[in-house]
Amino acid sequence: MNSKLIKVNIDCIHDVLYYKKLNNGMEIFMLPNSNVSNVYATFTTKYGSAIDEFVPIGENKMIKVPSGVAHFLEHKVFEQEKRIPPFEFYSKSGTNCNAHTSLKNTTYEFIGPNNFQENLEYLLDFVQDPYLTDENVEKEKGIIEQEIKMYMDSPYWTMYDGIRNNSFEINPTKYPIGGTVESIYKINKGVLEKCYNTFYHPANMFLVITGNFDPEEAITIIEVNQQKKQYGKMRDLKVREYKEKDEVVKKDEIVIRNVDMPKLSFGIKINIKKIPIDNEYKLHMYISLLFNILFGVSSKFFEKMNNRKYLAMPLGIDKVVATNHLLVTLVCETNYPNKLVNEIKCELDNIKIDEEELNIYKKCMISDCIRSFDNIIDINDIIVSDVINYGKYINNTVDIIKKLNISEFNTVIKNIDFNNVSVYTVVPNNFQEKAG
Amino acid sequence: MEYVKKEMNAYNIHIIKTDKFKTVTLEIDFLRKIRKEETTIRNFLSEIILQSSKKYNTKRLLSLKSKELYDANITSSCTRIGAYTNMSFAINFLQQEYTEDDMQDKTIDFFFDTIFNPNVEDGKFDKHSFDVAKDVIATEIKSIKDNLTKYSLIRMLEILDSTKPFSFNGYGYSEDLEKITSKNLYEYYEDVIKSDKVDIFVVGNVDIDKTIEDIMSKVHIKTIKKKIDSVRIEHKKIRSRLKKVTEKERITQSKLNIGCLIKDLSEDELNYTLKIYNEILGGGTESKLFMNVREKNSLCYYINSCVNTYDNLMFIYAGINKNDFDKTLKLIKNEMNKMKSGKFSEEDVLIAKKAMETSINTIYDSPVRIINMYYANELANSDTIEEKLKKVKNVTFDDVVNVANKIKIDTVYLMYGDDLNE
Repeated sequence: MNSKLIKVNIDCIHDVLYYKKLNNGMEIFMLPNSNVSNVYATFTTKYGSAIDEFVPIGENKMIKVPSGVAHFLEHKVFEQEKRIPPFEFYSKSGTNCNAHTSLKNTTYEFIGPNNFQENLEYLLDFVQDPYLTDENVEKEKGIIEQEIKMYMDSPYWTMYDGIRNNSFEINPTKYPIGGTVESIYKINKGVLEKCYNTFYHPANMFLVITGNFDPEEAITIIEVNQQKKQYGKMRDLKVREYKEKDEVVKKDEIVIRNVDMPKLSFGIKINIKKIPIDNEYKLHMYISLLFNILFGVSSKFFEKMNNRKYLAMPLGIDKVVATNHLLVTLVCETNYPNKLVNEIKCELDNIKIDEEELNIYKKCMISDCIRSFDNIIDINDIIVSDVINYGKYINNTVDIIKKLNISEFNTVIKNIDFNNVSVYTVVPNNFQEKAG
Repeated sequence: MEYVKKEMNAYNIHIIKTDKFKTVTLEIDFLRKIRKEETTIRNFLSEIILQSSKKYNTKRLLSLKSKELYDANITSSCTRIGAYTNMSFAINFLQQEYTEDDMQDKTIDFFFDTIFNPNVEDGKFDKHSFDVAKDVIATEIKSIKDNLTKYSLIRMLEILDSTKPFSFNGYGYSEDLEKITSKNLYEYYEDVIKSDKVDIFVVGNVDIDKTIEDIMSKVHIKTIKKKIDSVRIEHKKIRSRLKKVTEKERITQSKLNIGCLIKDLSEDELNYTLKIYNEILGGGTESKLFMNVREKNSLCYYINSCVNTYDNLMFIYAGINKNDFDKTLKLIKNEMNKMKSGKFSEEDVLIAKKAMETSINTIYDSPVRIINMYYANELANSDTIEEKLKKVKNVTFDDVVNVANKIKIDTVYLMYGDDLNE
């Protein structure tokens, strides 16, 4: 057996990431850290809630599936026929096991200091061989209904779903990750199996292991395990491509919820293909930097809003990546939603970044990058998100940060349409904004 | 890893030298007995310190300074430990080899300067920082309803016993907030420095003697402190019949909370047997409650039980449909009764022990958990890691049954709304 691992040097610390692509197409990323006791392994399919139309493996026609299938499937992958159930298996060695679904991926994971070899094998086995029956699919609906209702009561989830729904026209990124109480009752075993067989092929999946383990031992376990399993060759995955328009769908929406203080999400929809920066990773960096400098805790904007009592805490800054579009969201609590929105718009009309400020932020970005290697969960998440968003692990982050410069930065700023915004506001009953 | 404790009468320094991390973590803890009317002002104080300092007199300047120090942010928190409240400030910064010369000195200096040289004039906190911090606390108090799991738990605990510290809202109370002035806040600050028990922790690859010297040159607390009493809350009386309360809110999912008081357990029973009991009943995905209420009956997405040994308290919480209230409660009681009569297996005990062992064995993976362990030792004289592991191992099946029989439901609370689809 050829288990030669590729060593990838990481530029900000004196460490190496081990990489291998198996014959069946699965990719393996390993970053050992002997300073900790724990091992964290994640097994991810590049399939999340934002894929809802595709050609199932072995078929010729596109099918559209109900919203929430990827998440429903995540619950059902835990069903096993002969094997003992995953939670039971892992608890016997004091290991934690979990899974989560997001817009672009579904991830299964375990974390624990014991029993590494068996834990790893079992992760591959249970995810690659679930047991679905009409009965166990039916049983799950009540549980998922409660999960959806739990999120419905959270104003922040309401805003996260609302701003996506109002920003995108047809890209499925617009729908709630878990679907709706209505859509999940339309899901059945047949649909789940089609999604599973199509997207859980090893060539669409990757494994990331961080923590205290030996990469040579790990790759041997993985290869022996995968050789026992037969997979057909994966042909090109046909997933519906959406021609999403650049403009947001709805500029404004206000909803009433059981909150004491209004909250708002301000979304800026950006067509990244219209910005002449060839490296998408770098482009995302510039965009994050821009909003951090403009609206973060050290910004003049926050100081001003703070003085006027429009904001007690800085805006939360987040981004959603959807094919050619990036949705940047600014989220906050405020008693002056209308006035604050005007102030944000004003700020976006007159952007000026000075070089000294850029340099301070670059220092912070490098620092955050180094720190992330101390935490085996953080660094694992970063690797997963790199692979999902950029197709590979970015090993030269610090080099990229160091090369960020003001002239490229200005190019980015010039090519963003800052008027293309949607605002989603959650207010208590009978809310009236005071004069401020 | 090397641990050194320097005991002084006014404060203690604890250095945990280790090369496990690329960062250094520094924390200072102020501890005193909790009083309900003090929760708001204490939270306020922990916030205003982070708003500005004499040297960096606005939030913006202060945060730009942290950025210059390679993103060394100071954080603060007020947490309750049984009958006590801990106001804590911490900073986490890059090991010098990743930054520049003198960075460690500069960062430590920045940290203590922010805490001990606040933005004060004529015995009052700076008016601007005061107003801003007040806004932050007001927002926090108002936002408690955004987290219904937490909000419904506090409601249940208030109904259980509103005089006990576990029912206090950690953010504080609107009516108390109005009584705070920049003057009485500064008096409170001075009182905290004078009377609270103070502990300072450093975790990282530092020079022990130099760091102790450094800290001593920057921390000028002189008052001699008394030893603290037990942090644990004891219950004299336990309701003989359970109290059931339901309340309506504008929510989608109903929130069930059950409070159980614990009495007459020994120190080891509390620290080990009770935790094993809790792990079996509702600790994780293998627990009796998860298996029966969620997996078998599809009544909820989450259901957990949780013990707080400092409070002598256990609570169970789940999100359900309001119409399933009686059915869910019955199932929960049934699982508790089964544990009382020993209807669980040796295997269940083994699995619970494994979970505890994992938690103990991974303490050294995180600077925060290392500090928490040494701080717990400081407060309750708790066991070493080796002793902990040994005591977990020694817990028997009968010990668990015995503890199960000492746990009684005191209060059942349901916060309900208008469920959809019914």
